[in-house]
Amino acid sequence: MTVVATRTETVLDVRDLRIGLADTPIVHGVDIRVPAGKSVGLVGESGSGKTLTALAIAGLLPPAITITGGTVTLAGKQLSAVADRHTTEHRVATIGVVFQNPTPSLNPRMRISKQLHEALPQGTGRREAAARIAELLGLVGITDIPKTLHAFPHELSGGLNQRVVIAMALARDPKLLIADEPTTALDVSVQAQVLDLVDSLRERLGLGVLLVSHDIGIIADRTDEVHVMSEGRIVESGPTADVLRAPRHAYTRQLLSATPSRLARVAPPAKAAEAAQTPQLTLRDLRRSFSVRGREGRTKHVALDGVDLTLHRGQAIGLVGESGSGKTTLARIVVGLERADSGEVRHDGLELSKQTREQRRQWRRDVQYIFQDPYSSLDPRLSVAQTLREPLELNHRGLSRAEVSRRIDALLDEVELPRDFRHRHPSELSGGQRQRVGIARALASEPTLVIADEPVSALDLSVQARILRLLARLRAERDLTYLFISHDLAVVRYLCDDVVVLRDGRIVEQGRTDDVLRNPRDPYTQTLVDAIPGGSL
Amino acid sequence: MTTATLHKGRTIGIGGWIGAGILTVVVAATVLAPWITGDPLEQHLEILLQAPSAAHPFGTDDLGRDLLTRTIHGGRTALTISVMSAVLASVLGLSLALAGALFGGWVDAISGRLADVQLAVPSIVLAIVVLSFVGNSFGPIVLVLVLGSWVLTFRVVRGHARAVIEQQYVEAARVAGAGRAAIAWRHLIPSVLPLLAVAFTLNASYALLLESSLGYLGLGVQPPQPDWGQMVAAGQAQIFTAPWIAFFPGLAVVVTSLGLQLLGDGLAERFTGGPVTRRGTK
Repeated sequence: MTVVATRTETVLDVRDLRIGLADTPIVHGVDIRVPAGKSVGLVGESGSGKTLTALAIAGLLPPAITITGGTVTLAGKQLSAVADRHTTEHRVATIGVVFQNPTPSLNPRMRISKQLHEALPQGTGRREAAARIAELLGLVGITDIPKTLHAFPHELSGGLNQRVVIAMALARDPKLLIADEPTTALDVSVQAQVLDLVDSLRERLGLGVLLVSHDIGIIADRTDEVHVMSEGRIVESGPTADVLRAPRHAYTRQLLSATPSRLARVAPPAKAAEAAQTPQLTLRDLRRSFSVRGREGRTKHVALDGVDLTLHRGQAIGLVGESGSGKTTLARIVVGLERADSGEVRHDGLELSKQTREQRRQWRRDVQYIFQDPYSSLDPRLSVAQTLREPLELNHRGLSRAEVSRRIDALLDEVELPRDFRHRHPSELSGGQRQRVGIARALASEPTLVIADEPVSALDLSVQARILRLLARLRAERDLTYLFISHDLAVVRYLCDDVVVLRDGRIVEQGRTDDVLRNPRDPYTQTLVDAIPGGSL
Repeated sequence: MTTATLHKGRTIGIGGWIGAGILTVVVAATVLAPWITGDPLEQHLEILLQAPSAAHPFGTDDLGRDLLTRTIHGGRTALTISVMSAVLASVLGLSLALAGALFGGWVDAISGRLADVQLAVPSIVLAIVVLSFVGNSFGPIVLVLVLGSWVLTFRVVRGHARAVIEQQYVEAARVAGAGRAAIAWRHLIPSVLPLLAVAFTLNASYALLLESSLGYLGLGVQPPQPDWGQMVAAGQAQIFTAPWIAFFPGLAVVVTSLGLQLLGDGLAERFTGGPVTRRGTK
């Protein structure tokens, strides 16, 4: 390590960096060194202080939070803790920043060309600017340059927007690129492309890269050195391969064991095999399209283009695809939040549109949904008990108060939440706890089929792992049938026996999860499998 | 971070407290009127048109009636009518707004167009037309006041309800088996209640002003029953010789309506962080 240090230039040298909110310290002394041409990872869960560290280096801390100690040396120049003009100029010239969600980091009312122009150093002439912008877009791998320049951010995909953001970050020839969860908001295959791009730029331009992520798989694939951060401290650092092969700190081991690809699979419940003969849900030639208002007037967007699918009792099927593949639309139709244009949905042999009132009520109880976002799926005004009471009162009329209360306790036990959480409001719960409440709400109706739409994608990896284990246990205990939607094949491999790959509203491949993942027949499935981060773990 | 935590610690402010104070005094006085004052119709022909004095703090009118008594009793009529109309206007506005948000489609379109029509017709003109046809008794007056003021509640509640209905927790409630009524009762109404309180005070203030205008125009409650607007009109003839006859009932209208506005602004600040009328669909 020392040999490397003497030979290459150090772009960023952070020593004993301390950050605090008023009198409360948040980050307690962090040391990071990023050499030119190398990629350094900063990994930790939400709340570990990794983003604040990155923001402090970039001089973008929120006003209430200040640097309370330590030094930041950027390209040989030490920065003062208070941002004077000189420091700011030096930062602007040396650092490029790429944020998590590309679309909000672009101005929605400005064309891409104008935003890129703004990012160039002041006083760049018109002609020079045009040439430089074209060069930058070429550099980040955008092929249709004229069209992109003319577009507004909302007309481009997330992946393209992230490329534009990277181009903006590169506009002033920075020496250091700070990427804070640059791909968390993107589809898996796009993720891989964006990270490939960052890698190639690092090599070509000799950039130092500070990659901040909660995903240890991405860190494993993409960085030379890693710092593991927990509760405002760096608990372990070193060459990535060494740290991940033989982690010394318990927290690092915990992070590693939480990666979906490392979760030990539970054997599917024995009953599942024998019950697998009875179809519970049958979809035949399901079609749905939306009209979208775009630049060329109203256009039709086909979300589902003839989907046939059978779900047997006790089976767990993973539905995989990228955003826009129609997987969420499919789930919403099955659960009755959306109507299909044509085709039929049969539950227990009965077509949805031909149910009697009583059958409909039964179906409503049998089929439940777990939402993706645990933050918006709970009414902020209701306590946990009130949220859980709703399905109990609506679906099991005539329960006494005491009985309702007893069932709420039982549900909380089942999702492993303390019973006194019943009085809490969503704002007093963490993301994982909220998702547990969401799961308990789904279970309250005593369902047989549970549809889960990306139930863990908004959560930290270790929380993800716990929720996945919970879902696996519930399946075994309650003989549940799962339709599990995810963009993450590793998650699907953990939980599902079978997998269905959806693309542009059509099923391109289906089969046993292990078979499909081991030798995918469709090229699209192949790209999805290749894009799973953590291949080098 | 939810709105609840963001707004914690916000109060209705000094203005709001002043408004609440004014209203408490006005309401207490009018409710207790029969016990704290005499008969508003009692005439004393020996003390016509007396200026305010210790015996008659607001002076007397051209029939020798005590103006303080009449002003307090006038408030009974004005406030009963205003509050009643504000309640009905809130209920009407709330129902139409919730129906629009829950059913969408043509229900929403029709209620929205109704509101547009209402906004296009000046309510005072509508009131004059209606009252000159059906006569000016209690019922019709309340009717025209409701017609004139439900739109405010409707627009405020509809904007908010439409935003709430899009929330995922409302979908979650649908999956849990909730019908429209259950969604309205469990999720929509609790979330619009603060806005409704704000809209109610503003509605009441608006109804009070409109009711007084009608009284002034002779379309309100008929003499000898005292009413603020009508008393202002009666005092107008002597505005130069006995200004107090018109001044005190006029002041009562201004002060009460100011109290309502201040309280409304205070509540808006407390619950929504800004004037309620400026909130759009967010």
